[in-house]
Amino acid sequence: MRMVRGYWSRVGNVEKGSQSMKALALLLALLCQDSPFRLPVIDATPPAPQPVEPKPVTVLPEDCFFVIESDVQAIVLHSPDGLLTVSEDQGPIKLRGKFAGGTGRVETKTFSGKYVYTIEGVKTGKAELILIPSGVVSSDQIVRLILSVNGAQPPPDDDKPKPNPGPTPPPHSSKVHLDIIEDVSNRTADTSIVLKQVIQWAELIDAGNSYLIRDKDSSAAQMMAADYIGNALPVVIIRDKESKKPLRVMPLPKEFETLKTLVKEVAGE
Amino acid sequence: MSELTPFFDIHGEERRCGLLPPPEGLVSAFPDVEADPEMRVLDDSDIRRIAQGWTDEPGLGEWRILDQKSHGSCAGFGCAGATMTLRRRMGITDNLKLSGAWLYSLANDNEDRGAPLEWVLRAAVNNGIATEKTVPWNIIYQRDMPASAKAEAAKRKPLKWRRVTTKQQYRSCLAQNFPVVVALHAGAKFQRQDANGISGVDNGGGNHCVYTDAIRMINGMECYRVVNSWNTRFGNKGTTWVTWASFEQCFGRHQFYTCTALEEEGI
Repeated sequence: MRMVRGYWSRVGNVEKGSQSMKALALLLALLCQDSPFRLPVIDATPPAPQPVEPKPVTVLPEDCFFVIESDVQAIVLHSPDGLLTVSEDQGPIKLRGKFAGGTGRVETKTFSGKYVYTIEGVKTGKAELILIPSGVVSSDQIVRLILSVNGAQPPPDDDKPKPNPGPTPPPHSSKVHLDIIEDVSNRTADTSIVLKQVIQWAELIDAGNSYLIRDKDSSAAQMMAADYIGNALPVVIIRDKESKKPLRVMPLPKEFETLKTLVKEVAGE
Repeated sequence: MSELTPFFDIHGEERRCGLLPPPEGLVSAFPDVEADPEMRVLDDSDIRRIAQGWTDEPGLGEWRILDQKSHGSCAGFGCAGATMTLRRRMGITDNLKLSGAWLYSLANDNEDRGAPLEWVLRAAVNNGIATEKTVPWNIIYQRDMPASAKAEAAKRKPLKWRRVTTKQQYRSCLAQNFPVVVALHAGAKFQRQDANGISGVDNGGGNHCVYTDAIRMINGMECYRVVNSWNTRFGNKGTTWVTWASFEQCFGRHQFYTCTALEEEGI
């Protein structure tokens, strides 16, 4: 990871246009080192006159699975919202379908990693994936990558062959609890506006959900630090209200409507 | 300290205004908003944007209006009320009433002669805040405290108080949704509102502690919402709007404080 850190420190204030280069450099670094994650790669095709390094997959075509295997459980975050879906399974798992980095045809693949994260595209656009392994102690262990997502086609007609269903997202409780962690000393105008709208969001509470806005220095926020490590404050953790398990962790959106949509999506409304 | 002079409010309730100025040479235990580590102060355009877009919060209803009745315990009630509003804004929806009398008892040297706000805030930070159910309005001396009050109070303590020392800091705190405990002079004009719901200004250096919790524009005037502790018969269901003129004579003579975070057991 040293190579990657060197790269980052050199690029310093990077322009938006070089995001894909950053992602590429990170991915290459990942492929060359010990990491709990195994990301899809394009097969290096022999015979080649010189050894060819595997190329990272950075495109997620429609109807394809982007499968990440991991030796440890991880939190998989993605942004912006609505571009991807993520499901988690315990491996080994057999999947039939088209795969990012695959042949382009329907294949059956077995993924033997202890944890298997299946990413699917929903809408076309550039999406960022952040992989946070369980028990992370250093930012070096967090993996970020950019994917070019081509959205799925509309549902096929009944008489056409149906695509393979693929893994379905785990069921969520319909009630959620939001933990919003912030640095109260650094509350911006935009954050103030979004937080006030959260406070005014009677529909959330009336439906049996709840929220708590906590300062980063409160003991409760410090106890849940592992849930949001690697995220800039303010951060929102959407939990299953009953089990308290984090369902989604992300920076607090700048627009209240985005937060509202996301909460409803996670709550399965 | 001299005896507090009782008076009757416009509804005939006996009241005492017991906010005392800070002792001369006082070094506050609380950092200035802009002391290191600095708290963000919003710029004028952001404050105006927020003030212009103000809408009420449905959770902040009459439940949070306290009544100090005839004691000079306003500093305790102002601090307790501000903490209640902060709790609600944090997302704690139990509508728990906190005890201003408890805080006053820790700052009044066992006499009903008022208290400076700084003593009350120090008491809150060091001892926590009991509930009104355990310590109602009329228990204002430590010698009369129920045995359970101390342990109950320790469950909830303000985590971060800051001193508000400029008008810009004050406006910014309100725009950021942080309640600010303030001093004003409560006389007949304060108790009456004009057609816009704005209270008049009484002449004086500040005798009463209340808290403010919102900033909005009313007919082109920047106004601040005062939450009083004289029951819901005061003003508009316990609250009123004031302009900066209500604080002009008090600001500097009294210290204003904002509470931005709370530590509470089980939350």
